[in-house]
Amino acid sequence: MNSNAVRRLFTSELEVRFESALPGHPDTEGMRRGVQGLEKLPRVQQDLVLHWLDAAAQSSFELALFMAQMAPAALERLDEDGFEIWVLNGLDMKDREDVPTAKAFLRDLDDFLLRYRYSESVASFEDVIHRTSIFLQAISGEALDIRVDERDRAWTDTKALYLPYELAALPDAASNRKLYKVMATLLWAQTRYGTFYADPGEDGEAVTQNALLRYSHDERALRLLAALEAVRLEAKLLCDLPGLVAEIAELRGPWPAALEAALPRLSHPDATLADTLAVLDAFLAQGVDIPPMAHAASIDPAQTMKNIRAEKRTDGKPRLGSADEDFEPFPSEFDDGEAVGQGKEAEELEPGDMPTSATLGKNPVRRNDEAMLQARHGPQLFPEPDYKYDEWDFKRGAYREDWCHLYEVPVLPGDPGYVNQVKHKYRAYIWQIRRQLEMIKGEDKMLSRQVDGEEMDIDAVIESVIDHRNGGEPSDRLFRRRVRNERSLAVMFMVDMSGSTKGWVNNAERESLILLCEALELLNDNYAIYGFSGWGHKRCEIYPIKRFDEQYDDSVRAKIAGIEGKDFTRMGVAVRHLSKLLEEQGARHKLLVTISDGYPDDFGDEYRNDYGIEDTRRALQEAHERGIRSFCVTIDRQGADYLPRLYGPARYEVVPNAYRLPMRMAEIYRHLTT
Amino acid sequence: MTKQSHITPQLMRIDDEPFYQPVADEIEMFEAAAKAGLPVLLKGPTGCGKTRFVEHMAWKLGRPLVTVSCHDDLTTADLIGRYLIVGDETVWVDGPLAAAVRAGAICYLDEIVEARKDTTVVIHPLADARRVLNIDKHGEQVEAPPEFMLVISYNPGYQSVLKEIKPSTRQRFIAFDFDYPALEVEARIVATEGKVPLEIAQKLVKLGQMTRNLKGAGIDEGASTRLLVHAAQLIAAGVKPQAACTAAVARSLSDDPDMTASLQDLVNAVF
Repeated sequence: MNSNAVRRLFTSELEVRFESALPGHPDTEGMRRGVQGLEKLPRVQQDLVLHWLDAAAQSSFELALFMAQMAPAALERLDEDGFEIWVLNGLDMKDREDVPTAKAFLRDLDDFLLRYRYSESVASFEDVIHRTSIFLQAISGEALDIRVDERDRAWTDTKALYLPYELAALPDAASNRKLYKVMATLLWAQTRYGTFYADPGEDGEAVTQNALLRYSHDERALRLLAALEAVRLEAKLLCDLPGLVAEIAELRGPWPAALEAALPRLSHPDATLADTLAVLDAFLAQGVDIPPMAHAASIDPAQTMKNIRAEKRTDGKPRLGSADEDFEPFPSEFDDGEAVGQGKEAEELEPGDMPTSATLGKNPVRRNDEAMLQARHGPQLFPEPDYKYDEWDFKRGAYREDWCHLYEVPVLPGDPGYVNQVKHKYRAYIWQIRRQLEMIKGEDKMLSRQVDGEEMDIDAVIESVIDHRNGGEPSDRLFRRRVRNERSLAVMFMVDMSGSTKGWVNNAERESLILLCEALELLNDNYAIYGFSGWGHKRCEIYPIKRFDEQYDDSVRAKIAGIEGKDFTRMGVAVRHLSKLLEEQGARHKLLVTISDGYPDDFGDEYRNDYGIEDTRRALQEAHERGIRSFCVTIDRQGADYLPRLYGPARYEVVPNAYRLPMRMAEIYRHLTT
Repeated sequence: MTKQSHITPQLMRIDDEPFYQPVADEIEMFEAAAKAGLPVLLKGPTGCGKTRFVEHMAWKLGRPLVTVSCHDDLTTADLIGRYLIVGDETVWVDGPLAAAVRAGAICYLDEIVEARKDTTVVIHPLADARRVLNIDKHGEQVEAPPEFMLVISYNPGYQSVLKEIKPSTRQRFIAFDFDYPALEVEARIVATEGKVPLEIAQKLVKLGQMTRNLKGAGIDEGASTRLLVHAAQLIAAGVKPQAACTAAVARSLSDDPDMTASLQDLVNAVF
């Protein structure tokens, strides 16, 4: 080993480096102190500091020198990664504020360390959502709706599980990730093992509601309730998931002494909420209190009961994962319902009529009205539709002729940098899926019995010899030839651009399309992408994003970035139109892939529920009869009992969480076409 | 013209009863189909017992069994037979299908959708009232004896649009639906085949059922009974249950690191 490479730099050498990083800097005393400090550091750290000295000098000599002076103290307490984050944060601070603020930041090492340790130990919702949702789907058998809670609590309204955005209750990130899993499982267990419902037949609901509501405003009682339920539910989980229960026990440590007395009763496998409440009352009477337990999640009876009651009114099926789209417990908080908030004004219009631009303009919920109106110049003026399609009316058992008026509306280009961000975010995955697709592509086909080719076809030669000997006429097709595997496949991606996709679903759709395009470019498969939405049967809209004859170029990329949530989901007409376009392709195999986020729905009651389901099903059936295979991907948020009926002849898959869509889409495509 | 001879491979019979746990009336149905000379299509996910069922029925009916695993390079000649040159002679060698027809055996074409379309067509005359196999090469028409039975299988689950079983093929067969058995039944199978205590088999099956909940949500199919039996066999051979499930289930179902991690969470939760 060359000792020169690792020996420390001497004062004179450091001085040269400082001079070259900060040429002509007047603070010679400061430089001298900087050099002195660095002299004692090991070579690796000297190099690190000098590297950042050069980098920071690009921004400010004063700040760079100050950083170098602080560096020995910082390196005593930070590892290399931490040091880099410290410097980068300082530089950020200078860019956003000024040099004095940045220096103040660099000086306050204690504060930085505190936050750095925190960031090292924290787990975030985004880190765990994928893994947690898979885990819960496996144990519960349904795709659960898991969301971030805006108030950073863990609770359930029995429809969705809400988790905090970050968890830092435990000292390291791995434990906090486990804590997420445990919290989510216990929340699911609350809905599964009757925290909010007693067994049917006992008139459990009324009892539960009244009983739980009594504690609504008593924080101590709610804290106890959550802990006692955690005890009871842990015992329920023990039978099927002993390993998980061991993990929970490890995370929570021993139960608080105050709970000891209640353990035997609540840990009994047959314990119900009634037992919890009995213990709770006794504890309250005795004045027992316990500190909050991180893993126990919280129970918010008022909020949850509000949801359950409202839901009972609508469909009488208050279960996690019930397929009820109509009810939205917090319309103001979650702007992801189908055209949320438009109902009131919309109801005054006649069903099927298109609202005028004046109505649109007044509507308080709609955003980007101007841009939307621009994009919709056609329909605003009621011109002749681009296409008319029949629609299936299941009540009549007949088609309504030319019922749907379809307009082709251009998509306004979005942020040109978006595609690159997504490509960067998923670069590892794009590489992986490309490699997998490369394998399909690489599967050249060997054609046997050719008149010409690279090698002899031994089987053919033998047969020919035999035929000759047997007096027959020998064939002259004696060669094997390698040809590129022609897939002869045309694929149409039909993307839901209804209002309900606004936000993360929309983002997941855009990310999926980018991943797909990046992958498909490799395969030379012929594909097109269209969005669909609309408002009533007289204004169905289709948004071309990439036509079959278009290349995946900057204009297509900009259109993908410009995909946004519009209005409603009238699916049937879109399936009909796009399968017609698909049929015009000469390919032997034709595949229609739909991506949507719930069941078909349109303005007014007409298309809602059975009508829309039956029409969509019919449209898919028609496509099937014309040799088009459909695959429907649903980003589901509320369970999916209606899907088998809806998708009829088509195959489908539920992606329970939009976060999972992008990666799943590419996988699905690979499976469907290999 | 040289003298022609003819070779038909000897077919094996199954002497020992293969373990099969009936789930419904499939044994009686199969016997009835055998009696009536009807061809049978077995549908079901991978590793749920289709092949084992056919083996069991071949043993029960006392007929030889010829199994062909179909693939996309399988030619007609691979099924029916071909001429070979031996010394100065050309010799016809029966393929597995021809051999099965001559011997009155059960011919089982596993994963029929994988076979090339033109290959699938040669079974058509065998799978209807004609019950004959045409060997065009030497103009022979082999009439199937009453004992001959054609059985095909496919997995209707997650499949490529490029590979579907043609209606003209499938409409010649009576169809049996196979699925993973109920928990208790499957646990018995895993315990018997894997030689583990019932209690461990039950945990394995619970794990299997949980992974099946993920079908279409990141994995194409959940753990099959076969995989669970493999896990059980590893356990019986002294491997710790968690490690056995990691090897036989988690890693086997997915390459995606996130999914494998979630499957590992499940393994850890169950054991």
